[in-house]
Amino acid sequence: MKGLPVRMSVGEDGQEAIEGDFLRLAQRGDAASITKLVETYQQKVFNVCYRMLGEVTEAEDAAQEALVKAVTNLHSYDVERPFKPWILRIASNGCIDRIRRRKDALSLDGMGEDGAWEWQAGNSPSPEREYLRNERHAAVRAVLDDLSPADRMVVTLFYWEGMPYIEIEEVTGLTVSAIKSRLFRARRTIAELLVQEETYA
Amino acid sequence: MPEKLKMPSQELHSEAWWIRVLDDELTPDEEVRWGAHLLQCESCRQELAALTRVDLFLSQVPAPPALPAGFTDATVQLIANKQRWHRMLSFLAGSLVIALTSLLVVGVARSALSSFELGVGVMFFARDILFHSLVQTMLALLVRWRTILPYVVGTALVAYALVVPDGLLMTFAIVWLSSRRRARGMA
Repeated sequence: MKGLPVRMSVGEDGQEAIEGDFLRLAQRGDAASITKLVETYQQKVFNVCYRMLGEVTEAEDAAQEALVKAVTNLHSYDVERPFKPWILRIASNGCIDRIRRRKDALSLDGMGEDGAWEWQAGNSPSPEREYLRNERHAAVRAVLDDLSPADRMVVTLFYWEGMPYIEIEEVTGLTVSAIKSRLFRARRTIAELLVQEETYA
Repeated sequence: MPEKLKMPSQELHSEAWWIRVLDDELTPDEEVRWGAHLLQCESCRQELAALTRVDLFLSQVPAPPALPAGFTDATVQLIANKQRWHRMLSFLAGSLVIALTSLLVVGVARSALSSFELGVGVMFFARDILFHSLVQTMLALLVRWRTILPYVVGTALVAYALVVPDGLLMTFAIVWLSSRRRARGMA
């Protein structure tokens, strides 16, 4: 986009964050700016959804839903505020709703999902490595499934998105002290689960 | 043990303390106290080891897969469809308001020509209907998209201003009908 007054900032994780004028253009419905917005944030949104939901297909749906919702609600977004926490908040809330619906369905029919993390063909040079990767995924999912959706979100944002407490506060709406407390309890729960897993193994 | 290294073990076992330990927020003095406590507290040593393993476990989790090719295009297409649908509904809502206003004006004008009282009655009745439809339309837009499009609001306000009892249209209608009646009476 030649001549576009774009102000970009580089985040701590090295990914570009779009700000200011660019978002204003997207707010006015500029197609190129909307495409750039989606391209910039889609992987980050998907990563959070994937960590929260644990399934590729559902995470893709949730990420797409969050991106569509964010762009169609851009008029209610304050461009002076950072965009990343805003869009991740939309994604996280969507994932929490999905987890709740999933639990409702589980309690209704008494059956869960297959519990298998989807196999990502082409990502691994050997079946053994892929097997180990899936084992690790299954272990993480088993651990995360025992956490409440809100705790899972805090763990996801802290450990895998590398967010500082202040940014997690913006995404979740929880206070910093509540985030620290939730994170600590989640760590304790995971520690206990790991011990149980080892004992069982 | 030196006096300053003594600390109630209850405090060292509290959640707040552990959070400070894990966030690396202890002062140098507290570090010393904590180290001394660890030497004599088996449960704290075990807990610290377990919590450190959690960090290791979570840091070794494989990265999420890359999004499939075409995800961006599909998402942008969905957004475009949704925006088109949004615009169409807004246009329909706006058109409905304009159509109602036109009907109202025509109805009032025709009725007023035949009977002054009937005209006023129709105007009040139509005003109520128009007002309720406007409110419902705006509420629906507000609930669905959390917005009220400016031109819908503008049209609504103009339409409402025209038909309120003390609005311009009513004033003109009354003045015009009164002068017409006077003229008839004089004739």
